[in-house]
Amino acid sequence: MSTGIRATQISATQEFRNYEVDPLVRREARIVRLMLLVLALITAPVVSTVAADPPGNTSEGRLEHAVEIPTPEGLLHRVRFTYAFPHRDSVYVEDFGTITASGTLAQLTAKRQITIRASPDGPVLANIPIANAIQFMGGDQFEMPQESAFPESQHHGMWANKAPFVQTATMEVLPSRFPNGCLPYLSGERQAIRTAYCNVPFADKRITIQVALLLTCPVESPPPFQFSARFCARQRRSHSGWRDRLEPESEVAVQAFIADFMTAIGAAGKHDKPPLPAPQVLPAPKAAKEHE
Amino acid sequence: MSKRGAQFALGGLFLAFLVAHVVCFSVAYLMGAIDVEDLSNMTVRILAIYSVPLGVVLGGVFGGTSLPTDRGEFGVLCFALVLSTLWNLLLVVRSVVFVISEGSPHAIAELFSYFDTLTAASTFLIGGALAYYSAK
Repeated sequence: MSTGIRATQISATQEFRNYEVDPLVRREARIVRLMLLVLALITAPVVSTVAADPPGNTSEGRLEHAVEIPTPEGLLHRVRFTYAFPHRDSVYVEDFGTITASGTLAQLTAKRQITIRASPDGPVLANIPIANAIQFMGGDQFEMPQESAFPESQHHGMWANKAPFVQTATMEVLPSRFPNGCLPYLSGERQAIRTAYCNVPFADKRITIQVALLLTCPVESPPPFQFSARFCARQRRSHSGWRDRLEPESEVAVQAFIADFMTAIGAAGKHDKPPLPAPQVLPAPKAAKEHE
Repeated sequence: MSKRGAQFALGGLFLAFLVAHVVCFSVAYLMGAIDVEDLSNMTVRILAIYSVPLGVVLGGVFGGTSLPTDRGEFGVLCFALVLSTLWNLLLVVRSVVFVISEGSPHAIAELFSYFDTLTAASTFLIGGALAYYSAK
């Protein structure tokens, strides 16, 4: 039985060896191999570029990171991107205004892409899609008051610096005082920047005070021009919820914070004057010390 | 023990734990952890929770004008007191945890959410005993 099987296997092997491939088929196989090689040579650089760069990054604009922030108003993204247009003096970023031709921007946006134009009505220079956004689980809830929540009372300042107001405020003044992010947008006839609530330095650890800012200025206006700032403050004790009514010592701290901010942005608005350093922690109020 | 004595024992137990809650909230206020409005709201809400068992007990005390009646053995009363203590401990321990916790903006809402859930689910612990000692 096993001898019979063995004889059949030998016979099949010899038949395979004696099989001669048609020369036409061999030539076709060679052509197919060559085509595959050419295809691989063409696609290799494309594949490596796609793998190295997130989608949408161009030589002019590069998204450094994007973080998804779910809010009651909808999904926001905290983005940071760099851009460079070497042959231009300035560019226009939608919702942001006219800015320098190269630099870095960090902001909140409700859009799915950053559009950079030559001018407000000019052609699109670059579109940077917001892709591969990170989602953080947990952490403090992000809260940004609506524009209607801000009180009518406002502070005013003059901007005489040639540097773009929104860019300077967003990149130099706001990050140290409002680190939770700011949302630039057009509000009617004015350019607006609305920040998320951020903590006000306060020595009494049982009380948390937060302030949000609404900064507005004329759209695309050459300096000097007047800008205005509105602040929305709230406080809570360690086990309580948020309340808009401030206690006297909290109000003092908020007023000091606002004065410090207005000094800083006023200094930045002067020609070639750097912004002031970040605010210091205020001393504990007397009442709180006695209470402790 | 007489029926009236059992009613006083149960009523006293619930009152003592109610006072313990109010003391916890007052400590939180004195520590600066809550506002005075929170203290008022929390006191009112805990009174609302205790109004049910205390209402039944007090109803039995003031409604039962007949002479004291013997309501079983001392062991039955002890069992009723143990169940009532257990119910109260489930509530008061959470109040103590509230006071010593680090706190959050939702701490008060979470505390009373726990109270509402617990009281709805654990009425069986005290329902029988209160009905037994409050019935005429």
